[in-house]
Amino acid sequence: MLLPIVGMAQSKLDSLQQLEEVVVTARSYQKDIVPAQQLSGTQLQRLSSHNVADALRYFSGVQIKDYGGVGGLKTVNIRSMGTNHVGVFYDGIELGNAQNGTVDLGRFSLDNMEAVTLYNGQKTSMLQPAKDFGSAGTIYLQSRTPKFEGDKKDNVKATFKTGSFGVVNPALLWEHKFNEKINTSLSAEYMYTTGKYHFTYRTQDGYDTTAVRQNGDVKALRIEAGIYGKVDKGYWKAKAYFYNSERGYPGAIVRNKFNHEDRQWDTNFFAQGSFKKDFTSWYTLLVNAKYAYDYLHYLADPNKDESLMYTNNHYYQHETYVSAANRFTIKPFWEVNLSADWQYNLLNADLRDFAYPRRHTGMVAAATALNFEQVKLQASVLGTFVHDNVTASAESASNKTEWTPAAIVSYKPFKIIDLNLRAFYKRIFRMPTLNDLYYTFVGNVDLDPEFTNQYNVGFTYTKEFGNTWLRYLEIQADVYYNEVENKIVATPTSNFFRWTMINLGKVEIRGIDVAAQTGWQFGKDVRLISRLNYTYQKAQDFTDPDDEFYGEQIPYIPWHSGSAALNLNWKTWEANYSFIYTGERYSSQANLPVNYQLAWYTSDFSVSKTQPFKSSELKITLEINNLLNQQYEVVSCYPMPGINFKFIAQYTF
Amino acid sequence: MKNDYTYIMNCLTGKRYFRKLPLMPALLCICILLLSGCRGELPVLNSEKEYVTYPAATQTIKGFFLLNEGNMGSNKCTIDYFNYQEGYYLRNIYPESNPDVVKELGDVGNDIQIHDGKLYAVVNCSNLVEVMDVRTARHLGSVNIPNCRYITFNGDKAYVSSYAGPVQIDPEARPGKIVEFDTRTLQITREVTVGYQPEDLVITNGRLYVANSGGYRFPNYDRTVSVVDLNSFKVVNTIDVAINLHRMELDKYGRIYVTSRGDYNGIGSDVYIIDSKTETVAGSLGVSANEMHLCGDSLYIIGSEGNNQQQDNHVSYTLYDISLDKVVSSNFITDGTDREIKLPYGLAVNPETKEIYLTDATDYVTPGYLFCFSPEGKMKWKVRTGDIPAHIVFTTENFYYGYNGELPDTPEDNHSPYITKVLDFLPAPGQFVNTSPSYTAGDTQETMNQKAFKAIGENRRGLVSLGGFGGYIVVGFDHTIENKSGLRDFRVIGNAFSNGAGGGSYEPGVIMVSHDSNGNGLPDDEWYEIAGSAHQPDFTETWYGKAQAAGNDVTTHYNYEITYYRPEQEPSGSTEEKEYIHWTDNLGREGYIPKIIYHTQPYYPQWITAEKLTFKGTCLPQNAINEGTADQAYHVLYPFSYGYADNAPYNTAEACIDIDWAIDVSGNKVNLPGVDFIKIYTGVNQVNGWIGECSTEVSGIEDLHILGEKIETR
Repeated sequence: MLLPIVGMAQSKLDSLQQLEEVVVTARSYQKDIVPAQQLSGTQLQRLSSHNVADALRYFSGVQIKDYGGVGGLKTVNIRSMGTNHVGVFYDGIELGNAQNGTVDLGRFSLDNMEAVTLYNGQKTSMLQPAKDFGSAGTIYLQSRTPKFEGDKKDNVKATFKTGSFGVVNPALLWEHKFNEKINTSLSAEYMYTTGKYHFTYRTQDGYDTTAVRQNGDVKALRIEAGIYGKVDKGYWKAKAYFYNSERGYPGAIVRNKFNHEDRQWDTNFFAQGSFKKDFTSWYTLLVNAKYAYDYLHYLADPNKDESLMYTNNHYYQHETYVSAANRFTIKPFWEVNLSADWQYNLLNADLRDFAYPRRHTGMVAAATALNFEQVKLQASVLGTFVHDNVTASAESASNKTEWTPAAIVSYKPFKIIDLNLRAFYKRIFRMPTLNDLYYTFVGNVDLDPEFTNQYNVGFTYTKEFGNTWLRYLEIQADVYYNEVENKIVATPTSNFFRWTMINLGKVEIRGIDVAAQTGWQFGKDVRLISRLNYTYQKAQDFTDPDDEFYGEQIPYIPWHSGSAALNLNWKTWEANYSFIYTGERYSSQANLPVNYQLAWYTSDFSVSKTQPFKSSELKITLEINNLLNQQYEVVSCYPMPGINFKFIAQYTF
Repeated sequence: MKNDYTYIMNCLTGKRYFRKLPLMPALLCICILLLSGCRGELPVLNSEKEYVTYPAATQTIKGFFLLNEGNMGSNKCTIDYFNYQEGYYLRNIYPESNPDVVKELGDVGNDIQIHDGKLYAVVNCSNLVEVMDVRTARHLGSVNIPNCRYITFNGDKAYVSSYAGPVQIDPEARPGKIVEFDTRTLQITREVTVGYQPEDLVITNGRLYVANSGGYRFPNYDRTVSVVDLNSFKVVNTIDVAINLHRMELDKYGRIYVTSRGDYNGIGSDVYIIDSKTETVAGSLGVSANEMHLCGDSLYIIGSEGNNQQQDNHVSYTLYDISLDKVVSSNFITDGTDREIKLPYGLAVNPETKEIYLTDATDYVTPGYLFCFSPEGKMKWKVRTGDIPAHIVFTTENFYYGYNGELPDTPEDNHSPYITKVLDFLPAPGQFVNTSPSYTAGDTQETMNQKAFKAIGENRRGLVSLGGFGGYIVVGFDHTIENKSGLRDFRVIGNAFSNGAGGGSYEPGVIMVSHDSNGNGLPDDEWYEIAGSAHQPDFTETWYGKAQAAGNDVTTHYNYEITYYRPEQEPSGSTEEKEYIHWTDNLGREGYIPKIIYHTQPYYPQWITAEKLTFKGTCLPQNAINEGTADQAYHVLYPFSYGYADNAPYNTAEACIDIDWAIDVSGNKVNLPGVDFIKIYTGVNQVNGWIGECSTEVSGIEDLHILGEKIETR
């Protein structure tokens, strides 16, 4: 169940091998030479999470912005550098959003997810596309790959979830083995929720009001199909993904306005494929390609409310992406990666004076790794070339060329003690999004990219035990210093009816991330896993020394945050308890009482029972979330749900 | 604790101490439960008080309210208040006065006005007009008006512009409306549809003029002013002006000034003049205008030059004279401090003092600033506000903050904390005598007492000057100021200030108190002197050495007596000015109160017919030192440690007096139950070059117990 990974296997990680390891162990990532954290399939389920954003709350150094409820937007911010610096990869290829640069992680269900992995800096694989070097922090979502035990030709998993917020959430997964070389997978999920829940606003000796959250309903359908093939010393796979949803915007709760009615419709489609083969003992090729289409329709007032500005906008995005990555093994301890990517983005919208931007992005990356018994070194450089075209009447941003490096070192001082010291430096940027540059009125084509510099030192320590109650112990801790330069911020112009985007901000982040995990076994049948995370962050704005609030903590970054999770197994029973804590923070850079946000913490509890039948299995789970019914907000004016329940039945055969 | 620590360390180091194992989850659970119990609720936010300037005498305007808009979706619309009489600024007055109003004032303020004792805030994204008591900001009610923008009044009716007119077939064509409501019942009475996205509005001659922006219809902006007849409540005329109209001001000639915001993209902004008599456009000023404010004949305009291009922060501060019909200044900020203003946003001018107020919205997402400029455009002070400070309205009522229950009509026991009578007022000769308060021919002691009361009684915070040594005022109250042990009992407000380096402008006066023991309401009982630091034997102030070196007399003279002689005539020539009013004292000294060039009126109290005036009392050490040179005099006046009037900035503890410090004529401490009368006389006999004689000034006295202020004695 819990095999550690050793030696070369780790240094030769690539996306397929990774999948295999995920099956075996939940905790191989502790020893990565960059800070990495992972939750794998079973653990994900145990943490009573229902989407990817919820799962990420258990990682150190991560802030989730959650606008509440099932339908509310959820974005992730790694080590306070900003949402736009997070790359999200789905089955090895990045999920893009050239329009605004953020991915709503609340939309990704954990139902068919096998692993969620977060890397600070970059993944250290020596066979990866140039794009994988291109973000300050990266999240890899790995969907389930078909695996068949014995002679089984089909795996079917049917799941039904229901509970608070009027959730109806059936899902079906069917995996079929065509032959020894080809497997297929089909997954479909439908989700409906009213998004309604009670919330309370209360002040000490002041008002006390309870209302029902409105306009948070979601209808969403997801269908995914995959085909997985093996070739000699390699594999290929292809996937098609379709997502369609309609949702309300629950909106800010302000005085006298507890209801909103604006709505959004989304359609996302992508098809992607990968091919990998070891052509010789020293050369491996990985090719990726993707096409994506995203449609978004926003309507401000479906009920024709006279008090609102009439807004009815449609946005269309197309993305095409190809990549070739090459690995050369020069010596057993020395590898080189060369990769080249090209991406094309197109954004159309029915906005007035819209610029109709098209963007070509070329990327080349060179990386090398030296792996010795006690020392591992990696260095990489990424070149990025951006060219934008816009409609004739608009002005286009100038071409950009940027070269950005990263360097990683890890050292194992003792041969017999599994203690690894590690350090990395990375400089990377994000391009201004198409909205930043071209949004009618607000955009500014003169924007420069926003850069981040990261410096990190840390260690991992792992110890396995034989027949003690404590079976293993893992600790990792990192201290880091990040800078964000040329931060792109919206600012009012001297003509104060207009805003614009400028490169203005500078942020410095000093932080500590600590994660500890232990595994216990009592007697034959009782197993306990505990997981603790703690983050300290001082994230200060150093934009303008003349500003009264110079050097104060940036909005919504708590100084202290953490989580704890306990998982207890006894025969076919399983119980989980998890606790999430977000400390006090401010909703504005002006750290004043008027902007103070109370700390919040939630306790979630679940219990499940697995009932095996002849060749099938039924698992019933009951979850109670926010056990103490705490009324809290992650974002000011967006109340979160109090105590809520979920019932899950899952049948596999 | 130690066991737990060992245990945890053992776990971490993997030692075999696992017998206590189940403790770990149990401990965790307990911690979590404890922690859960600790999370408090957010308290109701109290206002924040900051003293920003010296107290100022006021005429009818007592202060102003400032509305901070707050960013959309943040529910951070707030109201601040400035008090002229005390020079303080209060941030965010609404929550503490209205703890029961759910989610406070609301989301995005857009206008604030006062009418007939009520304060109205138009809260745009909360779709309501909040109606408050202007004296307390207590919620009286609210009127729901979707997407409301600006408000004006006519008689008992309020008129509010709103974007939310009736829905038409074309969803993009949504005309706005004017909503009329009754200010007594707060019920909506009538509505009339006007142009697209109407903004500011004015009323003249029974007609309402509203500026239509069409801001939701970019690039097809509206360009009209709708004219509504208030009798029929119908649109009777539509005046074509210019695109994207916004603010309006009405002048005394019946002309309406209306700003056009332009299209932010080529077409610039401007101010157009509409003649309300002919309802035609009479012309435009040709100046860039984001915001404007009319005060008397002066139209103050903030504009930004050029069009929408980024990083263009050239701002213009235009002053236009409506009677001359011309721009008289292209920058009414004259000291260069406009460079400190990142994003000029709101604008107002005090109609009495002509002080100019400009707000800085900075970056919209952190608090802004309010700048106060003198009428000449020099910055006087600056204070932090809420987010996006924008709209200012002046009030003639006193404002009582933090009243969330009973109204202050009935303060505790119905007693006034302030001076309710002036019983005697006799200044010694001095440079402000006959001006503060001013003497006019025919005034008697009686009328001068009344004038003194009008200046400083009932918290009016004017100023009376007591002239040279011995000049005094005797005041009374409508109750006995209680002597509470351990606490200071009353505050004497003067005009002292600190130079931040130990000295400043301190003109100490001796305080005497009297208890109305015979109950006849007259100050004919025993008087006791408050023994301040200079009354203490062997007490020395740190500046005595310096003062002695400068030739000052630093002895406290008890039973001092001084006589001033009426000058035979007003002086002419510098010798006569130096030897203006002769005095002699009981120590065998003599001298003169000189006439100084800044104050030319007679210095001898004109309502006094006697040829000489004699004053008795305790003469304090001379506290003024010329720290400049003989030619370039710079007089620094040092304070005594405690116990005198006009001897400490009024907002410090040392402006407050403990009745327990009173002594009798023999110097023995007395125990008074309280005091009914207070006398203050100038305590120093010293002439300080061009700044004139040391003269104590008094602008008010406050009963700290009624005000609920607890200030410990020393």
